[in-house]
Amino acid sequence: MRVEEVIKAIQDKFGLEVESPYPRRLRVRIPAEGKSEEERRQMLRDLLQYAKEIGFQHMSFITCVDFIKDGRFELNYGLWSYTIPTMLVVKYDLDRENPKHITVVDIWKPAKTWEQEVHEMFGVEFDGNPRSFEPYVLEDWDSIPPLRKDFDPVQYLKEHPMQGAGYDPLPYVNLVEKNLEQPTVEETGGDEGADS
Amino acid sequence: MVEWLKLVDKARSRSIWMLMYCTGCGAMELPPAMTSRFDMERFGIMPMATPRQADVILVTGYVTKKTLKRIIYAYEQMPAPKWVVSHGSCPINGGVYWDSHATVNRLDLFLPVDLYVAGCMPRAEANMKMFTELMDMIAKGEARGWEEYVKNRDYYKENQRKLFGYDLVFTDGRSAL
Amino acid sequence: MGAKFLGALVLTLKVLIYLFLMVMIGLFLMGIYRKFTARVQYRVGPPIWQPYIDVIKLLSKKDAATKNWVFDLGVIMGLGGPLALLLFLPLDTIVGLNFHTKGDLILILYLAVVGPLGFALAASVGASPWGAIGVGRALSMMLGYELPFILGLLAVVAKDGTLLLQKVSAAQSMWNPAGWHYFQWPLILAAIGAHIALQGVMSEKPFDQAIAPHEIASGIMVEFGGKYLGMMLLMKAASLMAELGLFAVFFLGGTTAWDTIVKIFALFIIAISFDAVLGRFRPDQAFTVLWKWPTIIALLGLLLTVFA
Repeated sequence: MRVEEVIKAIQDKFGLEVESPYPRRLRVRIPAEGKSEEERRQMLRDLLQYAKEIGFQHMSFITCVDFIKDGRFELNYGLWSYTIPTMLVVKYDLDRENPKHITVVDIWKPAKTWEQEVHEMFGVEFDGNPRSFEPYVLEDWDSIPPLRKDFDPVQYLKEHPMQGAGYDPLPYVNLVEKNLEQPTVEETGGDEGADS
Repeated sequence: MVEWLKLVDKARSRSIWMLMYCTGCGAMELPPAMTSRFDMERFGIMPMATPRQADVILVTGYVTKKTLKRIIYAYEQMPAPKWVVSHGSCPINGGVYWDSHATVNRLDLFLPVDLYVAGCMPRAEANMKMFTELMDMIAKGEARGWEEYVKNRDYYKENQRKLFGYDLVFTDGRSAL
Repeated sequence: MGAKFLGALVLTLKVLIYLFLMVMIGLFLMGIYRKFTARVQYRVGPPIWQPYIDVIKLLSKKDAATKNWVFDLGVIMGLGGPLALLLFLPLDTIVGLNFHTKGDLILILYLAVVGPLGFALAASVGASPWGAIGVGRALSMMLGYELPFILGLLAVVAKDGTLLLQKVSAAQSMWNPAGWHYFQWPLILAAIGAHIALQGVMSEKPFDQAIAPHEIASGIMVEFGGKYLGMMLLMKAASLMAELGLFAVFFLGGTTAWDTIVKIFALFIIAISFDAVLGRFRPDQAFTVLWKWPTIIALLGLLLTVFA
């Protein structure tokens, strides 16, 4: 298939508008108004399944953008096709206060890890992907998901001084308790000392 | 007796085995130091695969909490005498990632560092200067980081406990050193 | 009584000196290996005495983790095997000692297995999964290279009609290549088969799957640190001399005098030339390669020797 045929097929089958701001880059937005949650999710899954069938074999990414002023998260599903060299990005809006979504792991297996990352960084819950609730990079995380725009990293580091001990504006850490004197040769007995 | 120790120190300085655990992006400058142009094997420095065989651990690049746990595990598995080199700006004071929620800014609160190399990242010439400096320090007996770790064990362990929130243990229940 | 005791003491001293010198020469060969590899890779490389410095450094490490007494036993077996092997090879002529060694092929093959087995025992005690993979690979490689190697040696035994190494050594000429078993028809086939297998015996590329630092984190050696690693280095030096010496005795005209060191050196240079440029086989590939052409060639040599 060629790029024009892909655009036409998606427009005919789903009634969605496909824009192409650059050559070989397609963007589809699943509209937010006028449909219920169930219908939107089903349309997303149908679109992804259809795209996989017509030649978009590679899932490049699932990322999320935080539009804090509009109060929404925008999920981007990036699909790449090797046969028609084109990238197709499917955009899906989520409510920022209650970001619950379904998983697409049964259509693409790599989605397992991508959804895990989006969950950790933004807090989006992917129902149906059990691994998405495990931590990805940040072990023992105790604050709000860090890539949200209302997360203040400097404030976080001020609350965790051991991690942030650096220079201004982060606080220094008191070094007084450490025994800063270098052990002498007599104290440690040369190479035979410090037998632990 | 002292001459024998001097000989042993000289031997240690000429046969430093480096743990090939390159933490972050600073490890990009190690292959130029290993290949033909700035050959570091002529000093006897060889990369080894496991902590039990290594002498020095180069903490290259930024240190996250997750990585720091593994570095401490690897450091405590190395047999003494052992050294830590803080390579790059990030383990010194945070570097470009000073305000990041994920990284740990200062490494020397958790491990005794013998040598600091600044740069983002240090070039291959700086790497060679670092190796020769480390060799001189070891030959003179000035690099005693492992003894400092043992002597100030409470301090380091307290810092680690404050950072992670718990004590580091090995998976079979033994405490890490 | 006193004379006997003195005689025993002198013999013990001679044996210890012999073993010590063998290990020292083995370490020197390892130094040449690193320098040679570095030069092939267009680098300068460490000085030739680098392994001596490495051994001093390793033996001066403070603490090394040991699991239990089985680990220590495995390491001692690993070092003791090649040393015992060296005692029964007629290599003592290198150092000018002349106590008679009555080693025969069966004993040599038995002792040659003790070293790697001890090594594998120590490696399997540790809890590391890399060690388990390394042990599996080492033992399967041992199975792989033993077959063509032994077929080649058996061909020589069939030709000379004896298992004793001294007699095999005496049946060949010292310096004249026409009198060496390597260049005599039909033993040349057996020699070629055994020579390819020698690369596996010495655990050099392309047959060094057991060590494999980039793939399995040093495989068997993963849990060895400090003094244990120092002993492993000494074991490698001793086994290098033993294996090369065995091949020189059987195929390169025996070891009567100082020709031993020349022959061992020549064999070593050939082996490390292949090691410097070849990659490493996968374990299953290595097994297939070793059991195919080297085995066929050595078997052909053996059959031709026995029946013709």
